[in-house]
Amino acid sequence: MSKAVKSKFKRKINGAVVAIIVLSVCLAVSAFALAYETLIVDRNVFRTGTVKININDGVPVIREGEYLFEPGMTVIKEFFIENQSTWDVYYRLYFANVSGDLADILELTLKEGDSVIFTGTARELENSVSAVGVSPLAVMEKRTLTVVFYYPPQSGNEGMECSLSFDLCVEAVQTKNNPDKAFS
Amino acid sequence: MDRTVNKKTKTTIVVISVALALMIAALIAVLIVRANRPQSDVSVLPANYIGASASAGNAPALYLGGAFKAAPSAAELELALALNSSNPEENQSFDVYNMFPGDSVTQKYRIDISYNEKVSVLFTAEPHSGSELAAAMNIRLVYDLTGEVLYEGLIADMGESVKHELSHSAPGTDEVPYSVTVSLPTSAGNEFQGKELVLRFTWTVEDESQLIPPTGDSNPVLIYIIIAACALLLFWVLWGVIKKKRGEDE
Repeated sequence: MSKAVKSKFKRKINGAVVAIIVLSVCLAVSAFALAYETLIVDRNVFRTGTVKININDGVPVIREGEYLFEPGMTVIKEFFIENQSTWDVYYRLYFANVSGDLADILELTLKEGDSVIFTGTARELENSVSAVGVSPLAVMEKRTLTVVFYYPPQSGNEGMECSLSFDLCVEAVQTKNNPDKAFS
Repeated sequence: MDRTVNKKTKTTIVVISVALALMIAALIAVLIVRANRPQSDVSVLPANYIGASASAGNAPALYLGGAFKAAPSAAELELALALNSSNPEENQSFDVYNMFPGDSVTQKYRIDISYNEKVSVLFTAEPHSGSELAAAMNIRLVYDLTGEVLYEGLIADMGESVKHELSHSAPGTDEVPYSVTVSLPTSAGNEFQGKELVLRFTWTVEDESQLIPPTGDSNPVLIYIIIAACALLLFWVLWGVIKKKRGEDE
């Protein structure tokens, strides 16, 4: 082997050695950094609650053709609401999609136990915010309510051949952080 | 001469291989140490919750409780950045359910940081899942020692990290207390009902060269491994020099 070739070979070896040293130092620094630089607190879990209310399992309170109203007649119907939320709720009842001339004639009374929460006509209960439940509904509590339909005798024949249809709605809102019973 | 060169080459290859193997072994050792110390850099603190009491029947009560699995102390961990376990009520991960608009929960974290004179601590709250809620929930990071609010706003708007600069006059270990408050604003709508958000909190330092081994470190395995590897490398270089000189003499 010539001197030049030997010298070249030596230089190559020396270069490789230096490279190995540098790489090893980098490796050591990386290992050090891996162990020292990060702190983790994992699995911080946040879940929001739900508000869900069941009204009479979707069954209408009064069906078409079930009664033929006459002056002085009273019909009492019961229905229930059930709190399927993850927290206690306030609730309010109202009518939507009210139609028919009896809407201004029939007098309605909504009762929670012995407490009256609304009195008026169906038209007055449409999108009303006044029929608010007396007490909050606890989680999974089922409460029976009463609606009384009364045909005032003084109305006479003005309601003849008239009808009434409506959607009975309930709106619920959590009691938590809601001291003013704000519904929306 | 050729035989000598071949022998030298073989020796060099063997030595280089040994050196590399040592360094790889050192790295593997680090990874094993990390894997066997789940409380050190990955602190999982289970069974802490806020929610409805099972004994309260239908009337949910809000409380914070649960078993706390204490993290090892900084001295045990031998880390320059570690959770301080002097107060078992601190450093717990959040596990909050049944959050409603207006709810707010706070956890305190105390971190031991060993550094020279100045260090920048970076905090991130990275959502694992449920980025939808991250766009609705607020986070507030407070440096409890001064009351300085380091960040307050939506989790989604936090960006890459929140920077907090620390300094002291002489190298040592500081206990750095933070409060993290997560809240659901009252304006949050029905679209955020029944959602889940999982966050990973991470504290890092901007320049890790500022970190130093914690005071009172009794068994710094990693440092020993690195020193041993360096010594071996030095020995190998010296050995090469001696052999070279001997060869020239011959």
